[in-house]
Amino acid sequence: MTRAASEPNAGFRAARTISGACAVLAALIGALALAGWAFGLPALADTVHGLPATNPLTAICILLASASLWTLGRRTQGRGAAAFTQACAGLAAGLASLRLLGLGLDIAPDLDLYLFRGQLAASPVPSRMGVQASLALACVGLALVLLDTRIRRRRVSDALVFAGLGTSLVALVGYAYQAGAMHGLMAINTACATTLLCVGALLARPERGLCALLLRPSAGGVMARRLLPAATIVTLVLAWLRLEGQRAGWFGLAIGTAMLAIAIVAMLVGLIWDTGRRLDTAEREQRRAEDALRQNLDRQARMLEANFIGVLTARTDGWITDANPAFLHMIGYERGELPIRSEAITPPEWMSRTDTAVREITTVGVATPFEKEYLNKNGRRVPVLVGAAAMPGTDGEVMAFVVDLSGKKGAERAMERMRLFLDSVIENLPDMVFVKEAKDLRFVQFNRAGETLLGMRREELIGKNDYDFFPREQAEFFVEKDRQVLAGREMLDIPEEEIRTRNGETRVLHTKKVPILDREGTPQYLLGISEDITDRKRAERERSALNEGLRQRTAQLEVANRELEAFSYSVSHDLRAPLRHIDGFTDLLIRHAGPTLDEKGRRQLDTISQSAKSMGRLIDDLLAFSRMSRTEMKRGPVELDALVTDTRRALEGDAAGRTVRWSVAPLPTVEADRGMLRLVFDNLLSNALKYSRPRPEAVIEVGSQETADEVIVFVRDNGVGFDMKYAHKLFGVFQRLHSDDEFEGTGIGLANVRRIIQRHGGRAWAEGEVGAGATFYVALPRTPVVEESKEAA
Amino acid sequence: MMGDLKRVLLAEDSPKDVELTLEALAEHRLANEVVVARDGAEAWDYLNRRGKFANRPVGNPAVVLLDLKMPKMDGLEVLRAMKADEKLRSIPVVMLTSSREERDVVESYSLGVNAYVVKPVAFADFIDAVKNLGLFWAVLNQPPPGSVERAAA
Repeated sequence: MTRAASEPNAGFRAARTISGACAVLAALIGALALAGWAFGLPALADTVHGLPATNPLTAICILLASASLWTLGRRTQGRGAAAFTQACAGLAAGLASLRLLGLGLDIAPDLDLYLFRGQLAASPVPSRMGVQASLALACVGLALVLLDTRIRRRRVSDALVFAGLGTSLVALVGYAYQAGAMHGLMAINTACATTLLCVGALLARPERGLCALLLRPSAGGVMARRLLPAATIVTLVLAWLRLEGQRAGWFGLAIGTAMLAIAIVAMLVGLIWDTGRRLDTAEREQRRAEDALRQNLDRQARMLEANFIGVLTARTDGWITDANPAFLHMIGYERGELPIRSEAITPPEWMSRTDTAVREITTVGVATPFEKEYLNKNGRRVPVLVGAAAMPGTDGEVMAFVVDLSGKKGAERAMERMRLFLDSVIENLPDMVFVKEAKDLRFVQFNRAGETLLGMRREELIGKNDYDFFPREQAEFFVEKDRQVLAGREMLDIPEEEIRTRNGETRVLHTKKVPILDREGTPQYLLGISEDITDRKRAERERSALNEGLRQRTAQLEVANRELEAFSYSVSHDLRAPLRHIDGFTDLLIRHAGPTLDEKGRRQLDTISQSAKSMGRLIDDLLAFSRMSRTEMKRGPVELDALVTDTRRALEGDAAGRTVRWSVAPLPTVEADRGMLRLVFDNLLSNALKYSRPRPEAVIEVGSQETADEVIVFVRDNGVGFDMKYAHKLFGVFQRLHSDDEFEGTGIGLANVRRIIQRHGGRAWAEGEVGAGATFYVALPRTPVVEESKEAA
Repeated sequence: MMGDLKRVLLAEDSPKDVELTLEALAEHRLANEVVVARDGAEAWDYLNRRGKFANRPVGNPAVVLLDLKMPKMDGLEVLRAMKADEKLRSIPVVMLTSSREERDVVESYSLGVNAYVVKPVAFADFIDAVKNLGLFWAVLNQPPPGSVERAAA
């Protein structure tokens, strides 16, 4: 690169040097001519005697143009020099043009004769400023004037130079081939001077035009460099040789022309072959180099395309001009949508960061890598890392590399979220949670429940150990347990431990201590979870006190119950014996003394006997009731139909001699104690019979109805009924609504009914009206309930 | 009479009940076949020919009627002791009691009682019960060997 870059510069420098040399030589020719005229030495003006000499005006024009050309090569001197250059060239062009105008229209004064008129007239050789010289100088002058003006006019200056050069060469060839018509009035030295000026003008700006082409290392440049001398100098020389040979009589016109043609053809063929070969080789090499370069570029491009790194080119004015798919993917754009403004894909709050980077690039050339966010077309923000640098040899172009951080950020955020989640779980657990490091058992974590429990803030606790807060004895207990957990690498459950809080209160904790091991199994931390069970313990104590009271009362109740049993046992045994004796001896008395007693005496003995029997029944019923409450229930399916039928049959004796109409509906089967239910229906049916005794026709109805959870059986009679006001007394022990004279009875039967039904988990009740009969209901649950307590008699 | 061998041993602490029972048995002319023990201990002495019964003739009663509640040794104790004794085990025993208590009934039967009779309050019923008992156990039932044979009418 360095060599390639320096070569043109060396060529340019050489060209400029040659240009300056041309100017000097041309000026020398002009100056000699002028000096010749001034000092009467015309030979200085006409270098080849007998031929036209350089006109003084021509010489002046040559000097002016030379001066202009000389200064052109040193243009660094400023505006004054530039103005001088332009003025000299303009003056030369103006004088030449005026002379040309005069020659053409034949009206202008003979400018060329104003200077050294005498010498010119006296000169043996003609010396006028002819058309050719005027034209050449006008062209060169004008070309120099226009040399540095705009590109479109550059063509004009080139054309002018070539016109001047052509004119000069025509004159020179004319001299060389001794063809007078071709040079006319143009002196040979004038032609030389104008040729030098034209060449100098071409070389004055070597970076442009033909010169640039000749200096270029490209195939075009090579070809121009090789063909141009062949096409010009060699051809002219060959043609001159042929002409001279013919003039010398060495060969005729035909042979000369043929030889010339052959020589030109051979030269051109050789030249073309050689050039073509070289070009071909050069081109192949170039193509190889290009291929290699293209491959290299291709590889680079593919790397850029395939890479996850976004690559983009942008300008410092904020336009993003190109980007690879990775970057386009990040921002959600298509390549066809480029260029885009940087603001379009940057959230507003990140713009200033971008501006900072642009400033860095413009001042230092490289921006420090920085994080920012892009805005994807879909509105999503993409966190990125950006590195950017100015592209060398460009005007404000920047290349940037962009790494998408959203994956990384996402993972970081997920970790962060997880950490926060776990922290808040620990923080919000209702139990005290603490973590101690395994070495010194200092607290490293502590939650809110722990702060509340101990009345201490975690800032006070973290970094300290148990000895800093708790009485020595307690701290030793805790530490001993901690060491045990860490040494055993197993969870330890401490069902109860006491701890003193800041305000001096003692709380009871249920603590679990867990070792936290690292990958190698070495304990790193100790996790503790403590539940405050103070209130629960207190409640437990209260409850056990309560239970103790209950247990004592139960024991008392059991004692009372046993006493009650002993009492009823005595009743059954001891009360019945005297009654039996009363009845027995009364009976014996009647047998023994009956005949001697009068009617009244026999009746009184009879009453004694009746009373004894009545009391016996009372005692029996009472005992039966008591027994009923205590005996165990034997549940099983009971067909109520059959039960009612059996009961009715047993009661037939009571109904003897009476008209009783029974109406018994089909009854369901229930789950109950058959013996007990038998007693229930005994009571209900015998009651119905008993209280309907006054009716000429007793009507007794038995039926049932079933609800979702109960079977209700009723026994209805058309007897004397009762007042609903006393309904609540019906089922009480010894409670009677009728006197014994009206209806006999002990007042135990319905109490038994209710007790039995209650033990089955059911209900018993009655409805009635005085004189209009009564209905007794018993309701049994469909799903038999377990007896709540058979003790509660 | 004390030393005589009788077919029926009645253990009853209440003299009134003894009188009523004998009255009832008299209906079947069984009263003279009864020996009365005033409590369980006396009944046990009679069965084992001890104490005041040491000189009674050899032989077992055809039936033992036991009241449940008696001083010293109650009916159940006597029953238990008899059933544990090789010689006395086969004597039929009838519990004669005022108690309807189920546990008494259950225990009596589990100890091997032959009958359990609740003394009714009504005297007429009582006479019927005792009469039937005496008739069955002392007259109709064939007592085990070694028991006192029924005297020729």
